[in-house]
Amino acid sequence: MERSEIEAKVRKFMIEDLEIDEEKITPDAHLMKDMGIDSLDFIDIVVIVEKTFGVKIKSEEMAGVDTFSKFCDYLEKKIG
Amino acid sequence: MARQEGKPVEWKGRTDGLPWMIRSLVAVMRVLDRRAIYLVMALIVPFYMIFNHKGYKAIYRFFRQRLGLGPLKSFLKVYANHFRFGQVIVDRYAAFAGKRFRFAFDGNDMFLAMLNEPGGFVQLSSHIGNYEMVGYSLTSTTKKINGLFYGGESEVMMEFRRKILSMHNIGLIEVNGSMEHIFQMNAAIDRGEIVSMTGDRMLGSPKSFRCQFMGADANFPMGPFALAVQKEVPIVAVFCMRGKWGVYNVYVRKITAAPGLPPRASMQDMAQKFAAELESIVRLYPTQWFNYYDFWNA
Repeated sequence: MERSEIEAKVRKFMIEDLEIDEEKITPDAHLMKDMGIDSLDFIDIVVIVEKTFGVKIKSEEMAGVDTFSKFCDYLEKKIG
Repeated sequence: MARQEGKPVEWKGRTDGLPWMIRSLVAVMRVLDRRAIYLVMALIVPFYMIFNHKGYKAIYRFFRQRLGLGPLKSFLKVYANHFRFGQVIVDRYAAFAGKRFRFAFDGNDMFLAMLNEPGGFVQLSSHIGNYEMVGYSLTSTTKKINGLFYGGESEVMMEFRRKILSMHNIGLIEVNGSMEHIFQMNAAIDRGEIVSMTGDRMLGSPKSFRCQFMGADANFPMGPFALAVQKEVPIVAVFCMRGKWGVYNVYVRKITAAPGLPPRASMQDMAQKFAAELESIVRLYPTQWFNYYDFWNA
């Protein structure tokens, strides 16, 4: 899957399912501080990523994944 | 109903008391008949009502505004409520001390049928009756129950809990500010297990739904309903209420979302159905409402 496609899908579910304002989603936006993602949203993220990309997010792999861009990097690597 | 964000009351879930006090109480419970402690408690309750004025006011308002009782009747009901709360705490320590309780079930057949199905589910309790007894009464040998607990609880309380819960095939998932509990809940449901938590207070996230409850809108946490909808599993609401002669009446109710709704609407639908089930039990046992704060404006 192309990087741009991953980004578009992540952006789409963040807007539609997590109800995050589109303008808050920038490459350097901090997932928690800027986009307001909390533990509850993470339930959605874990399950939606599984359904959309067919990969399981693991907590130990998420260390340092704190911005939108890094999250997409992580998924790109995971999807391989 | 609407999605709410802000600063509702988040449960800190810590039991008062120093470790030696908790251990002493459990030791006393091993040798003393708990009815003797109830008797002493009946004399202490008025003092507790005076010194815990915030809690007193919240419960008094509950009887006045939510149940429409007069001032005198409300005052007497507040006494009964505090006494019941004391009984529930004494019973909890009695359970830690190895004392046995009798249970009467309403809806247990449905619970047993769900245990034999392959999928997991979310089990929701609340701060009415003796929700901790749910863990000692609804046990499962086929599915492990994973109870969510607040990481700030005292170590000695956790030691007693772990000991008794491990005998009932119940493990604990700690909520401690990290996201680890999300992954653990997700994995538990994937394994076809049960994830158990409370459905009336915020734990881990301040996001909530406004639901109609006892004649007014109140906040209910989004977390349990988000988990159930996203993982496409049902919710089982369990209420463990103290009945006559010390018997605990356990009510089990299955909650599913109306078909065809988008995810957020499904969550809201389940939250409202849970609030309705909770209301029906609270109306049956009004003196066992143990949320000692302004629940409707939190």
